[in-house]
Amino acid sequence: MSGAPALIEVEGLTKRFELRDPGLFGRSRGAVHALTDVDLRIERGETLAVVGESGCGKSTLAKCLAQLHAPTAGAVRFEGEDIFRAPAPARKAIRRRVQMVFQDPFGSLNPRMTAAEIIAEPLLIHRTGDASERSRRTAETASRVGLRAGDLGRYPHEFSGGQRQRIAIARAAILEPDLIIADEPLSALDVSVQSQILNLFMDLRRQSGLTYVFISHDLGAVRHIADRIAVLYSGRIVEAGPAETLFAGSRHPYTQSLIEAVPRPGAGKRLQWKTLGGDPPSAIDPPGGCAFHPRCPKVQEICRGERPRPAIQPDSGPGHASACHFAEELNGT
Amino acid sequence: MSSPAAAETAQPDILSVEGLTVAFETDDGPLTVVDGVSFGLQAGRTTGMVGESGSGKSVSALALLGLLPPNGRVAAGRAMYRGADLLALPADRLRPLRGDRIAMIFQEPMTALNPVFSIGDQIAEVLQIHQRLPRGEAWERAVGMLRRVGIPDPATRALAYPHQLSGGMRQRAVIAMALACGPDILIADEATTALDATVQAQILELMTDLQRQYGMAVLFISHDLGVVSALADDVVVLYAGRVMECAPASAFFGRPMHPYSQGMLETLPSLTPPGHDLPTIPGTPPDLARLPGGCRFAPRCPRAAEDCRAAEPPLTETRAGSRAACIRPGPDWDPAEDPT
Ligand SMILES: Nc1ncnc2c1ncn2[C@@H]1O[C@H](COP(=O)(O)OP(=O)(O)OP(=O)(O)O)[C@@H](O)[C@H]1O
Ligand SMILES: Nc1ncnc2c1ncn2[C@@H]1O[C@H](COP(=O)(O)OP(=O)(O)OP(=O)(O)O)[C@@H](O)[C@H]1O
Ligand code: SF4
Ligand code: SF4
Ligand SMILES: [Mg+2]
Ligand SMILES: [Mg+2]
Repeated sequence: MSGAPALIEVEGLTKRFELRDPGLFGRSRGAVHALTDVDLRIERGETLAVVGESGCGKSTLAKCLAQLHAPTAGAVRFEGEDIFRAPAPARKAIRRRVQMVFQDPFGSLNPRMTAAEIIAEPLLIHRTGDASERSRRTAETASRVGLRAGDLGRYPHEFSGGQRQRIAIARAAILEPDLIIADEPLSALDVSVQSQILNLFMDLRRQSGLTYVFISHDLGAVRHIADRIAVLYSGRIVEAGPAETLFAGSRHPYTQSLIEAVPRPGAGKRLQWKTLGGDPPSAIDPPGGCAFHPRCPKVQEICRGERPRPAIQPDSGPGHASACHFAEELNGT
Repeated sequence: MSSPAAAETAQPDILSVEGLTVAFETDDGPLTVVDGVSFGLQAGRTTGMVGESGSGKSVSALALLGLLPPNGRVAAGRAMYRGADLLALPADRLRPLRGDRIAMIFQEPMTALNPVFSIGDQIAEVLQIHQRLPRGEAWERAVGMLRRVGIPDPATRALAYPHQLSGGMRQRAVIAMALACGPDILIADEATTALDATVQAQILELMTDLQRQYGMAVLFISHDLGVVSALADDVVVLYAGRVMECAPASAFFGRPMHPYSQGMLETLPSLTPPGHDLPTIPGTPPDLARLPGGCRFAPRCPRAAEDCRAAEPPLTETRAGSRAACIRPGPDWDPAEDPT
């Protein structure tokens, strides 16, 4: 690894949401521990997938990277600059270079703007190009994501769910940012469109060296695009490493359960993929020790009392870390 | 429980959709986006509806519930439910059915949730209106439903506003609301696609349970063929607003008859080794305003020939219980591997 700063470096990132009853002096009902002590490095040009179950903190992490949430503690550095301590103009410049595709493509598109206006809006916000340049780039970006030029005058509700997601992707891509954070960009899309969009993401990266953070609840869906995978559980990273290393030799029982949970189509009826038993952890009162211990098939006494720290697995692929007391013994699935 | 074979033959439809046709008024004139769609739903059974983005799945569902946007209208068809045609029912007779006897889970959860009320309030309200439960009991039931859809700390989370929940939790809140009244018919539009496998399995089990308990009929709209194969008894395939194939799930996944169905099954990412570009069905769905003559799949069909462009092929029985809209139907399977 060179001494140059990573495109993004996250250190000790923690985000809590205070739960209060309505009103100025509403009673506190504790806090949601959405993210706790997350460390992460994203190198330029790579695709990092962040995976984990519903509620584990994926969108919160994405929003902290995109400056939409201020962290409770910790730092996010963009090319070495701490974005939450940087002066306003620097923050705005970084915001332009980091674009996000939101999880809910309907809620994030303004219903009173046409598709063309939505796609072009970032150019206006960041004062880029004149009118003819803007319309040329809008048309070009729209066609890259597979939207028909004749449809661009229509409003979001006139498009199907998958078409709306394409609009959102075009909007994120139009500024040619350094980093695109895509929060579940595929789950609203049907399989053939999913493949087209994945191929599109890969093309964009080949052409312009884009960096991606790809958020997904589905490990199988990111296998094709991710260089590295970070697995979140209960607001913490429990395993991270090169995608193929994780698939071939995960060293964390939670990741292993995700790999087994990838559903496969078959001829028979009824649920036929293996899923994790037990209940997802409370985010208000997370389990002590290893947060995964109430559901872990490999749990031992130490797991209940002592939290395992993420540890590099030197005998595995480079950059492979796992937060499990028994990581070394968990060779492969 | 009767044997599956008996159920397959004896079950009358609880909802019978015939020739559903929906048109939108657009700047370029009327656009038919759902064109003569027919299928039936049976108590205790699940029908999977699949098809590419824009094929008309959501519009079909919205039409059944009288929820089309203002520029859309039902141009033809019937949807018979307990002796009444849902498509002809006046709004004041359809409204009490909606959310009670016929429930829908919308593709975008935020459209079904009110941002200024807690999710507990919203679920409890449904129960107060339709089941006439007193407030306290409705609230208890709402918390219970949130627990059943796998939301941790349900009693605290019931107090949360939609924006305070994660995307998957919002989706589950909407599912809890739809299932709260124990409907006869559930229309689930991409209800579980935003959910991880574990939560998804939990929801599907809950749906299957309710199905067994109350004989709920489910229309499960999804582009996730893996889930459809695990859940559905029957499959309806839409392409550009028309039914291409309609078959028992085992037949569809084992030996699809329509070239489009075959193409869909071949694009599954799980069949492609990593690092390779994923296969896609070449071409794109047709522009509905400029449909090709004849079979609308012809421009993308590997089997297309001159006669395909002559007339739109009707849905025809290809084998017992299966129908396909193709003049050259048939599975592209290796006869040596055919178990029958
Ligand atoms: N209000 C509207 N005005 C005009 N066209 C519309 C309107 N609503 C939907 N459409 C068009 O109707 C077609 C069918 O849309 P629908 O939402 O049913 O697709 P879908 O099969 O549900 O797709 P997806 O998988 O992406 O959700 C699309 O071409 C869409 O653009
Ligand atoms: N604005 C907020 N106020 C209070 N709690 C919040 C807020 N935003 C998120 N949370 C909570 O933080 C936790 C993590 O949420 P997040 O949206 O990051 O999950 P996620 O991993 O993206 O899940 P999903 O896959 O369901 O989208 C959840 O418990 C959620 O309820
Ligand atoms: S530390 Fe213990 S409980 Fe946690 S994942 Fe490892 S074995 Fe399981
Ligand atoms: S009718 Fe012809 S073009 Fe249409 S699906 Fe069948 S073979 Fe293909
Ligand atoms: Mg999320
Ligand atoms: Mg839809």
